[in-house]
Amino acid sequence: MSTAASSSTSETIAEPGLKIKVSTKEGEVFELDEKVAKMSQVIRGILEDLGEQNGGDDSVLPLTQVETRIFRKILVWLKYHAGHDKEEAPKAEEDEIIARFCEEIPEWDQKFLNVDQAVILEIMLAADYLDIKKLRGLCCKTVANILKTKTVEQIREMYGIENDFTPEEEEEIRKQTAWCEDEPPRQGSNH
Amino acid sequence: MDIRLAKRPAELGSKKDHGSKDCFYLKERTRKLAEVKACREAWRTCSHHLWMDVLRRLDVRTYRRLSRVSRDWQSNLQDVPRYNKGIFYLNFSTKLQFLQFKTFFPNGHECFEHIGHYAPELFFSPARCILVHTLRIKVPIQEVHIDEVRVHWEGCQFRKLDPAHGVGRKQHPPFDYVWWGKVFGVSNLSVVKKLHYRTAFGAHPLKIWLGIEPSNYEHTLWRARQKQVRLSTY
Repeated sequence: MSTAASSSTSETIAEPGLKIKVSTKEGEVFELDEKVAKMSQVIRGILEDLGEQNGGDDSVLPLTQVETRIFRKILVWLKYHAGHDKEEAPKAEEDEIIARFCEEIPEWDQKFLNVDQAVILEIMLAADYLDIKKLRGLCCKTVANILKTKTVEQIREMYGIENDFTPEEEEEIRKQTAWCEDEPPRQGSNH
Repeated sequence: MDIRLAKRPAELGSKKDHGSKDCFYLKERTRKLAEVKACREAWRTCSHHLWMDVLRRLDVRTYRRLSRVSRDWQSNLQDVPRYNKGIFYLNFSTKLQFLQFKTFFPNGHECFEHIGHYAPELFFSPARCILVHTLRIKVPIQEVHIDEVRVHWEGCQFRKLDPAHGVGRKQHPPFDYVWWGKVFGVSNLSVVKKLHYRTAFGAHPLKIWLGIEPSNYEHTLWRARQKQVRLSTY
């Protein structure tokens, strides 16, 4: 996937429009179509602050918190969704709550996020930094799905968390949550 | 088939590699360790609000289960605004089962629904279904939802180990209101307070709906028939 992403950095998407240059943490410069770049609310905000007249010049927007390898992945996602997604109307609060509970991860995104958990977390952090809500939500959902399949011990091991409960306290909590301890769940999951 | 003739998979490398840096298992172990390390690092840099967003997407069971990870996790999970938190109003009568659910939204909005005559299976799914249902959106009932409740129910069928109270006898299963509270993550107390006096009828609609027990009506008929048989033989 990274090969596809690296080769696609110089590609353009359909319509010839304004190009936005961004640089990653390592200083690598990427040229994005305006439509793709504006899927990030942060870039959109910066561009609006700079004003339309400055958009076409050679200024490079520095994304200091995003590594190149992660940005390449995000770029693949952005390009795909820029071409496939329809404009969504802003949701009401209740709709957002429903969406959070009911959102299913589309097949393409499932494949896209079928990577190591560390990479998913890094994409999630970058999506948060760039304020790409949809990608952030998908990553959160994927991580939540991973958590569902893990036992408490596996999670401690996975994140290096120390068990700071006393044996008595743990036993007490175990009793309270005994009814939900018998999984890993039966529902299908990506990981 | 003679397993000795089975060909060694190519990806495992040559047997001569064992212990060397080309050893498949060593490489795999190194890869996994690196993954865990990267995972821990990424998790440490994860901001609190982002992590809360992950936890918010957990279903009730996982949400409860993970409170055992550590104190931090427990407190984080307690901070998650659970939109499905609410009070169940269960009202048993001999003929109808009324069920009402009140949802509290963080903006102060309250949604009170009378959902007595809907398909009960909808309630058995993890929190999302009750929420979806409360907001009048229909979702297909999945077999897993019913399975999940069956598992819960079977979990209640454990036998007594305390010799003072009769070893080997089944304990009294939790009352429905306790169980419903557990399924939906509503604190038992609030449920008990509201419902205790209403459950004196002894109806167990969950079991009946699930087909674990015949309905009370059928049971009553059966008892009446037994009584008739006894009377006639007498």
